[in-house]
Amino acid sequence: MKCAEFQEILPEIIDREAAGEHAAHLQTCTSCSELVSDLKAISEEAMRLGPTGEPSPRVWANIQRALEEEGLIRPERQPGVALVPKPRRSSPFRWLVPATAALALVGAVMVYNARQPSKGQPFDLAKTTSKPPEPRPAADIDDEQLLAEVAAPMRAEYASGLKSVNQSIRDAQQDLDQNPEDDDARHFLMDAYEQRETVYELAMARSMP
Amino acid sequence: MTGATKKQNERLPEAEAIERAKQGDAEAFQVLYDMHRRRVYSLCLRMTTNTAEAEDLTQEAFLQLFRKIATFRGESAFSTWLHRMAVNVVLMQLRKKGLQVVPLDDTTDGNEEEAPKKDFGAQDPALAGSIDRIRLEKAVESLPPGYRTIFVLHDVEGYEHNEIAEIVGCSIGNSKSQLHKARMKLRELLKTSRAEKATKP
Repeated sequence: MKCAEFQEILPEIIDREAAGEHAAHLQTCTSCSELVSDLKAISEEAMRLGPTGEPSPRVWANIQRALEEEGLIRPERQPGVALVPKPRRSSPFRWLVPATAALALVGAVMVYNARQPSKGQPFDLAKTTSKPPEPRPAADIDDEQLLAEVAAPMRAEYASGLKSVNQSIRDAQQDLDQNPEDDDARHFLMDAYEQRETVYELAMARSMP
Repeated sequence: MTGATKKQNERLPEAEAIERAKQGDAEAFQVLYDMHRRRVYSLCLRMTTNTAEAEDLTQEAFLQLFRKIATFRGESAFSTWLHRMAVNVVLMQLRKKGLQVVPLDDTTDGNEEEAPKKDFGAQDPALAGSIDRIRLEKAVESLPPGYRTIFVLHDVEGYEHNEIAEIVGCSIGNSKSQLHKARMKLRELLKTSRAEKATKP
């Protein structure tokens, strides 16, 4: 086998053990033998090349900002600030506050439900208003059903908002479950429900004809 | 990030960070970024040879990953998934710049200076044992883009030829041929560099 023939086939065989006439040629040809040795040395050294360095801090800052803008991450808590807001003086009317928020949310849900087309039955205002409807927790509301009513271009934005506020409610509820006597945890939960109510109101306003 | 949070992040296993990131946990995203940023950045830098561009591409690769993280089911390793995404981001950028990333039989487009010289009876001493990392990095940097892409993907990053063929859109035979030419060119560059070093006072 001549050098030209060997080097022609070399790309196909270099990454495996030489055999047959190829091995025989390497045994007798110093030039081709050194060529193969050099190319393998380059490949092996390349495998040992590690990371070249670090991206600058701006890369992570940009990523983090983009993720927040797209609603993919929850806003980062400020260092030293707990999930529960600063302590406030306890009020004898503190139970009214979350109840008010819950009623406001229920009101928003009622408005939404009233807009749903009735299925073959005439709308009976007397029947509807004669008895207060059962209050439904926010978590029972079908977010997807609501979002289906939102204009398509805005849907993703409201989906992201709902996801974010639902996570806030879960976090706040968890805190309250762990600290049932904590007024601030209760206030935080109330705030989270208010935020959800706001998202619903905005979404419903967007879906009105 | 507070010291306590940083310490917590260092202990957070990757699988847990992935699940938390799917829930929108900001710290989990940072854990995943910290784990993989150097390798992604290195890939981008070696393929583009430009630090600003490599940073932009690193940013884009991670953003694409984080946007799609909810779809990650664990069928492949997370690092493999991320790495493949980074490669695609870089190749897309190189194509936008009009650079040859899909190797042809002759990536030099007729520029004989760039084509590796065929080797018939060269008398230079062997390279084995005398290649240092810095000279190799410089040599890789000066490869034509087509050669550099294949060499970085195969010899540095460890992709197989069938994977490279799929990623860059060429045949397996073409990938092997271009890799060989890249190595031949590097051999030439390293020998020249060594000779220049030897002649300096």
